[in-house]
Amino acid sequence: MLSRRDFLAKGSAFCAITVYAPGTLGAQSKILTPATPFIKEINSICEMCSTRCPITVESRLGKLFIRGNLNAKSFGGKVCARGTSGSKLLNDPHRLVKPIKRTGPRGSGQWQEIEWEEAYQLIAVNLNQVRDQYGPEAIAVSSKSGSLSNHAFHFGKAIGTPNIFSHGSTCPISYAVAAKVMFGNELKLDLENSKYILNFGHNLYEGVNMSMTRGLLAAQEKGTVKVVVFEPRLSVMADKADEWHAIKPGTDIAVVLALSHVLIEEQLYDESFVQQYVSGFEDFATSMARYSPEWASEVCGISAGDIRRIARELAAAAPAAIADHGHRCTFTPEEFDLRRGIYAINVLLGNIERKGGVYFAKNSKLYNKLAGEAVAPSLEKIKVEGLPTPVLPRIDLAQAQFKYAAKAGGLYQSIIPAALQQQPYAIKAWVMSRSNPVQTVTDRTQVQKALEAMDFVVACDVYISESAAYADVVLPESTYLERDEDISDYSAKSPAYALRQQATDTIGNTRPSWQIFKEIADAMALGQFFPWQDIADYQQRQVANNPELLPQLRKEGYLSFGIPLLMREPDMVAKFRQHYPNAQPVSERGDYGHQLQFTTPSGKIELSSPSLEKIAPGRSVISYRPVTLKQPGELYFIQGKSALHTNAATQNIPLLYDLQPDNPVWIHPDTAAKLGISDGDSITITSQVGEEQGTAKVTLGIRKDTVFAHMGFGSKNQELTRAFGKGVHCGALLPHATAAITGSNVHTTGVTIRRV
Amino acid sequence: MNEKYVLIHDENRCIGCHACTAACNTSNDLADHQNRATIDVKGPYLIDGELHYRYLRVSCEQCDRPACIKACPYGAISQTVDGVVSFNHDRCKGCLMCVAACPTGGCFYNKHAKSTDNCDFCMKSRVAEGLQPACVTVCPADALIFGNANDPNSEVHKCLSTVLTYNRPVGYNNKPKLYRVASQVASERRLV
Ligand code: SF4
Ligand code: SF4
Ligand code: SF4
Ligand code: SF4
Repeated sequence: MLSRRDFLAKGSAFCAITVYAPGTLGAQSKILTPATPFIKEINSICEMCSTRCPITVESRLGKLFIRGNLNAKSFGGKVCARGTSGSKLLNDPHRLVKPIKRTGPRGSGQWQEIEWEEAYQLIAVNLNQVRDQYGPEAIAVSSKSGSLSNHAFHFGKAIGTPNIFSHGSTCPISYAVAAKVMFGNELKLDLENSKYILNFGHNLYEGVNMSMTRGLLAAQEKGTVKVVVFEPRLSVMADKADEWHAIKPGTDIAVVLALSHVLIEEQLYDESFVQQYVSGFEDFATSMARYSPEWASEVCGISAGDIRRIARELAAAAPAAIADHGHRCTFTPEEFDLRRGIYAINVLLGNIERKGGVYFAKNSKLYNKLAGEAVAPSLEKIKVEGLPTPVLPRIDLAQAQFKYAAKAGGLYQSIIPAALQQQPYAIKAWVMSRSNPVQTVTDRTQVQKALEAMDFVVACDVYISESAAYADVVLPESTYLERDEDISDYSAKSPAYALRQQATDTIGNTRPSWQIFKEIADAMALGQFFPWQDIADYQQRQVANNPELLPQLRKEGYLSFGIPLLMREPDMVAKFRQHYPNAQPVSERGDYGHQLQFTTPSGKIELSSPSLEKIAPGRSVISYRPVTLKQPGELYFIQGKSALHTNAATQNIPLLYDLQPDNPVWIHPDTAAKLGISDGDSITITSQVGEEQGTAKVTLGIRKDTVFAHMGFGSKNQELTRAFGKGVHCGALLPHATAAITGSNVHTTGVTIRRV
Repeated sequence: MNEKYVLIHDENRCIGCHACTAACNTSNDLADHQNRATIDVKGPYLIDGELHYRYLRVSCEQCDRPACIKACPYGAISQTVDGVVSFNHDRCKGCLMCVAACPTGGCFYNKHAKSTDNCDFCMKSRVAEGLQPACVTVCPADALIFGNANDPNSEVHKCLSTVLTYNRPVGYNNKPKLYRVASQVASERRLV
């Protein structure tokens, strides 16, 4: 019998990752005439999702084809379906290409086209009015994270509001906060070299994150890795794994804690690592003692034997073994200890800064220091003097427990109570940039009400998105293919930079967000806080000390410097020292372990965090707290990513829409039979806060007690003419809930389903 | 010796992400809702006691003995010396005789080109420029390999001589140049 683990390894042995040089098939041209003799190439960065892969835009007489930039090795010169469809967004006749202002009630779809100057004046007058009447903190600024958010956020700072939000709390905030608390910094995964990967619903083969996806593929290709997936649904990730455990939603934490229990109980953990780098181990171990595999089995249904075996297999593969922090599968109010628990496994395995383990990005500052020379150029932080200091704390800091979350992008959803109940104080105006809270924040009705309650809303987007539909003024932003942007740091095992560049002429009367926010600031007499003339000037300021970097980046799009380095991997450190004769001396282990620094209060990895006690009593030690994600009789409702769409953004883009127009609801055949539902039936799906119409996809690839849908569909905005009304609007079904500490918006709930 | 262009789809590697479909659409002349190639993610099936999907590429098989050519009354379909079947959009009258004759649903009426069309291995677009086909260029999983099977140094040659591949069988010996590497758990399609 062939097991799952043969799935990728066998039969593909012939093929190392193949890269063809352009022109290798030139012989063909003697028979066929080239379509166009002239191809212009511009290197840039994709923006169809938040991964931001380096891309090469080929232009044939103005017709664009997008592929990956071969300079960025870990991205393999590849793009996903969304990435290569960028030209469809660019050329979509439904795009917004002129500023508009609302002429009817909010959300009525009645608009009038206006000139940019009028738009800026309207915005300036209204924002100034809100600021004068309620104070600057009554203005919220939110943006999808990425290089474009810099300018929106800087605009918020110039106004003097503390209430600046990224989309983080509706997506990846939990593992970011958990990593901050434990390590002081975020971690990267060396999937490619790993021998054992535990995956808690991080569906890298559908929620494509190119370098991670390719790292995992490369590991599976070698046939030397075992991948164990815990996920309620048979995702492509689960399909390709060696083991798939269809875990009950919300109970992953039981497995996670029991794994630590076994690692400690059987002394399978890296004691010397723990001794050198960890604080709070005793408290952690005492807590874990309660969570035996037998206990976990009761909670999650995975057998105690399996949990013990997996713990032992993990330990045998360590340090080349990873517990992946997970992404967008089952959300729980206990996100914090779930993600901390996952990281704790990595700590026990001693895989920090080891091959096949986890590591910190080596930016130029750290890398150059270790090398004893300037291997990589550094970017200057652009400082602006005299920015106003906010008077009031952020609205999400009303509860001290969200201290870390506030720094990691904030609790996006906290705008809703601030708007509707003035809790903790009133937000009266909302400036949003490429952000779609009406799709992604829980309880759509409340989000809509919050928008309706605002004195003034301005949205900056490429479409009249579902959220922009409720704005007073919508500003048409240039797509990523039409704009230049700041230089971005792409450091991983060595320093790297990438640059977004304009690849084609701007269509219509759109402007890039750096310009929009600078010009709004001008209109509000805040221009002094935007001292750069334009983006070229901004980039020059970034490379002030390394002017040669910019022309190189313009040409190459992506540049990495130095050789890969993991600080606790003696081989790599030896190579590094051969390369750089002035490099720092090694520790007695022959590595840079002694140089590892953690920016936590103790300066160590905090398996337990006493400082948390102050902001969240009882939270210092990782522990299990039961959660209720659904009522008896209901089905769990979970969501996830599709390889064809990005949650909040792509549903209306031609081609991507055509390839996946909606999100049928996955339901198990037995459950469907009980409810009299057949594949393809129209269904009504009801939760405590909403009711949606959809279609059923009856499949064995889901637990009997769970239903699944891809996030981002069912738009209720008529202006998205393609996406309008197609599929289930997940946000409309999710009751409002926030996870402790991490501030994550909980995207799991209970639903009932019936045939229409 | 002439070139013999072949395409191999490795179902072990394929993740069903449709980057191939999208890249083909953006680089060739196609309406948004049409495609020359797609990936049919089938299943899940219970295979050796476990659930698994199958990833089947659906496109023109590039037959060496193409039924479509014989069926076309207007001589609009031709095969290059390298064996690649390609549609001449200027000659095609849209009678759909080829569509009727093709045993695998490999050709379709292209609404943009106003002609029947197929996956021509990008012979008229990227390959004519000396580049790899669009789908091969973007595939995140390196699941597609294209090249000249008669060149002993080519990846496709190496693959075909070392790995078990299969073709989609049809009623007559059509000799497709689209090869497939079967998923290893997919016992029902494994050749012996
Ligand atoms: S994963 Fe796809 S959409 Fe996201 S940045 Fe990369 S190519 Fe673009
Ligand atoms: S692009 Fe590659 S991995 Fe994705 S569906 Fe196509 S063949 Fe499969
Ligand atoms: S698959 Fe169909 S269209 Fe393609 S060559 Fe064969 S007969 Fe012609
Ligand atoms: S080879 Fe070219 S025509 Fe055929 S599917 Fe790939 S991109 Fe499309």
